[in-house]
Amino acid sequence: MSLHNLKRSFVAMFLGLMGDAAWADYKLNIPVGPDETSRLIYDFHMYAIWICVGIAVVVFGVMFYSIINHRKSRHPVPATFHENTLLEVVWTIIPVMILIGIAIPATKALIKIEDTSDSDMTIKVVGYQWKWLYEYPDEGIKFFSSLDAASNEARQIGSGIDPSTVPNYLLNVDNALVVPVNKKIRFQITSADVIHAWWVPAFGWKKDAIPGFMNAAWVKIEKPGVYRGQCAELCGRDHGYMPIVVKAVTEEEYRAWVARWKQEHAVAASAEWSMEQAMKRGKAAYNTHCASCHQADGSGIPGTFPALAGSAVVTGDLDQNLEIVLEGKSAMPAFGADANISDEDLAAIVTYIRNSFGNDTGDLVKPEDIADIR
Amino acid sequence: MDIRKKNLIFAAALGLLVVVIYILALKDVLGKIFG
Amino acid sequence: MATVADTHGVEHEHGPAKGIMRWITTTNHKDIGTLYLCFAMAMFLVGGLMALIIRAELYQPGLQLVDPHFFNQMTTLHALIMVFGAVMPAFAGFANWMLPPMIGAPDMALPRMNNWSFWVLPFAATMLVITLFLDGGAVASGWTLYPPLVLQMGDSLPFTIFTVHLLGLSSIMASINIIVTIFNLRAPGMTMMKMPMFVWTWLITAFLLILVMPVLAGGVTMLLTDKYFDTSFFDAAGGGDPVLFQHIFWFFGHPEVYIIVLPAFGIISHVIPVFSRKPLFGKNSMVFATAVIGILSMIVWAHHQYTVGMPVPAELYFMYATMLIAVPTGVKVFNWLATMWKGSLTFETPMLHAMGFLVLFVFGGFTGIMMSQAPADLYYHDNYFIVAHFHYTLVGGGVWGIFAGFFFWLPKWTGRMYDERLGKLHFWLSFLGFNLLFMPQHFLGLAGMPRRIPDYAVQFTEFNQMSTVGAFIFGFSQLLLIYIAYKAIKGEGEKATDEVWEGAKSHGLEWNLPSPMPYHHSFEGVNIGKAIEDE
Repeated sequence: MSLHNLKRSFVAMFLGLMGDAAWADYKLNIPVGPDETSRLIYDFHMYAIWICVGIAVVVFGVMFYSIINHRKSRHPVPATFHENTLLEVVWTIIPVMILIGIAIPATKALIKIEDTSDSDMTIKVVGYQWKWLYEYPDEGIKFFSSLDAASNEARQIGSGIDPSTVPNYLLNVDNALVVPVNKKIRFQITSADVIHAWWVPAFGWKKDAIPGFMNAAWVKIEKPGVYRGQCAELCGRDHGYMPIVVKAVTEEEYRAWVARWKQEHAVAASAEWSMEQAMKRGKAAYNTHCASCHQADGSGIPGTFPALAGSAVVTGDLDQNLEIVLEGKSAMPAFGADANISDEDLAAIVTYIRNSFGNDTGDLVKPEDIADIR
Repeated sequence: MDIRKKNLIFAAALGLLVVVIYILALKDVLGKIFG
Repeated sequence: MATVADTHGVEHEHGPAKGIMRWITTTNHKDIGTLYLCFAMAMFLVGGLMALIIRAELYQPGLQLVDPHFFNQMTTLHALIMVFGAVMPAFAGFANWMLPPMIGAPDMALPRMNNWSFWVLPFAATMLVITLFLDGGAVASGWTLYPPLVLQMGDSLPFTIFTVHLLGLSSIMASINIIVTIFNLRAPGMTMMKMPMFVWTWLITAFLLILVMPVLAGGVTMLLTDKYFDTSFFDAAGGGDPVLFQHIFWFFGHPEVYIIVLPAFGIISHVIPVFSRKPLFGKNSMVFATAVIGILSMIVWAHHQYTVGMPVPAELYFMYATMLIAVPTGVKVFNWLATMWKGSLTFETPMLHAMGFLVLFVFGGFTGIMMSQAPADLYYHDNYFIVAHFHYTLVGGGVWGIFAGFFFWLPKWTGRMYDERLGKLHFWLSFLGFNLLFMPQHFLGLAGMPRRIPDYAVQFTEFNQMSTVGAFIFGFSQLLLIYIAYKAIKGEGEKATDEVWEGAKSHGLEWNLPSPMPYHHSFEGVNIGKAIEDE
């Protein structure tokens, strides 16, 4: 491909990115999302592209004109000029003016995007290795959100499962973040371990989740829908496996969801601690906290993460098993140290692993047992 | 001045600059160790 | 090596030593230049292999080949090896070979330190590669080494930190050597302003290295003490801040990318005038613009950190300062174009690469302008748009400069013309492969694919596949480069004249010297004063 044609294809590609929202499908360009921050970013991005296209046409135009018309065969006697102060001044000043023309709208956009004041509600987002914790402080709602089971199974090396058969492969979670439309939502973003970043492309921005510090960002979603994103700061082995799903619903649906959530969790809290309940809760909590390393079927990763199926620890002494779960071991974190994982969850998980994957201890661990061990 | 001597003096001056910057960059670490 | 001819008269009995000891103990700038270049080529292949592993895994969604932890090790080492093992030593190799002849000097100012600057490198690189085999594998935090993640790494962390220290020492010693050589060893008549652009760009690069490598050393030492000696520089629980490391790292990291690209700018400023048969346009502005780029590069670092939660006024400052760098960079591009304008152009391989550089680097510059805008960067940060940008600038700019310089000066070093047909073939395969590899990544980023992930959602498949095919084309084309070098070094190919390129004599002192350059006493029999005047 000659350089001339190459230049043409660049221009064609840029033209192909024209501001038509039809091109903003997930394939080629930034999405035009359902909120103001997204539109600010999209508009600004397109503005910058067009300016770059303009400059490119001039610069590559001069370059290719010269390549063609000043070749030795066509232009055998070279000129001798090698300076021109006026020209230098002109091509210094014009770029400065172009840059000022870009900087002014950029400044306005940034100030707007970073202004989290006057919000209608707050949601706290905590990054974990490798899942998200969402909290609605005004409602007393708190839950973990991790990669859904179908994706988790398919993504294992040599799983034999074709990712295209998994709906929303790697972009689906067990518990989505449910939010109302048309409310300015302020996110308070932090981390429990290493630096993560919370990114939903449809909202435009991303924000780092930094342990020990709180970052803020906002969104006001205008259209109900499901918006998917991913962690955007390398956070370890499963950085690519901790997606984000935001379900924006009408105000009434949101209120209904809040009420349902509270009811379900109140029921769970007051119910008799039975084997059946522990196993059910344990399975969900295991998939949230443990499956990414020990795998959904308890088989682990040989050499890296021990198998729980048939493990001496899991089928042996209960106290030793509890100690490892609570206090961690080597790369395994101390799950007992996290205030966001309740004694109920821990008891359920240990019950579950001791009675699944072919393990058959018959042990029912109660939340009081966890509290006793602490 | 003999060129070799001049070279060594210039190198030493630059080396001193480097050492100063190392110390500035490491002063908190050195502070914790010796402080 | 038989090709570096020993043209002494009978008064001197010594020539280069024989065998392996020659290479270990040499203080000759040409030998050391060759050592740097061979090392760089080897590292280019090692880093390239890691890139191919990455791209092979990314060929399809799903995990086929490697564990995610190993994938992260590859990402980390690929960058460390390419930046510190391939590109920087390659330019150091060019500096060693060409700086003394360009200023009329017999050798570098501190030849023994020159030898040490090189030999630290293979030792450091070996240590870095060995970390792959330690418990827990190599560091897998990305080359940016951010805490707290990097503190979760195992035994490989202290060895990696030690490697960084050694690489820093190598660069610092080389920089001191370069600065002293340029200040003290210029031939009479070679004033600072008469020095050619490659010398100026390396002078500024050397100062940047001296200023920022110690800062990186400080940052990684703080990582070491945080992990092993109970400090908490980067731990909020102890009163520290993980973002502090980021500031320290990028204070080094941003000037680092200019350290990589400035010598490439210098090479292009040599190649274009020769093949345009016209003097470099606006030499004084070019010097000035390079100095401004160097200074500005030190005060813009946090544009790598727009999403960490900086106060808005700080984000705005870094945005404005970053945008400013576009001005002197633009000036350089316009000056190169003005050099070509109404010249008499031919397109031998070095000039093809210079044209490739202009297209690729300027394109990377455009995406850089886009990313400098903080609001837009809130989207681009940590996705494939960024990956595409920095490869267009670092590879399209840095590596293409290396390609151009290599073909430009190889005949001067070996006395033989390289095979022009193969040279052109290498250019087109590399150019095609490179664009197929990285152009789709812009769209992947814009479509929402984050970086540093071993697996992705299915809508990203097609562009990833294109990118992987391009990677294999680009990667395997470099074997052709090795073959071309081997042929010329072996002595096959047309004998090169002293001038090598038509009209080159007035474009640089080196073209007044024999091809190949004599081992010692490059300027024996050459009237340096006249050659300088004639430039």
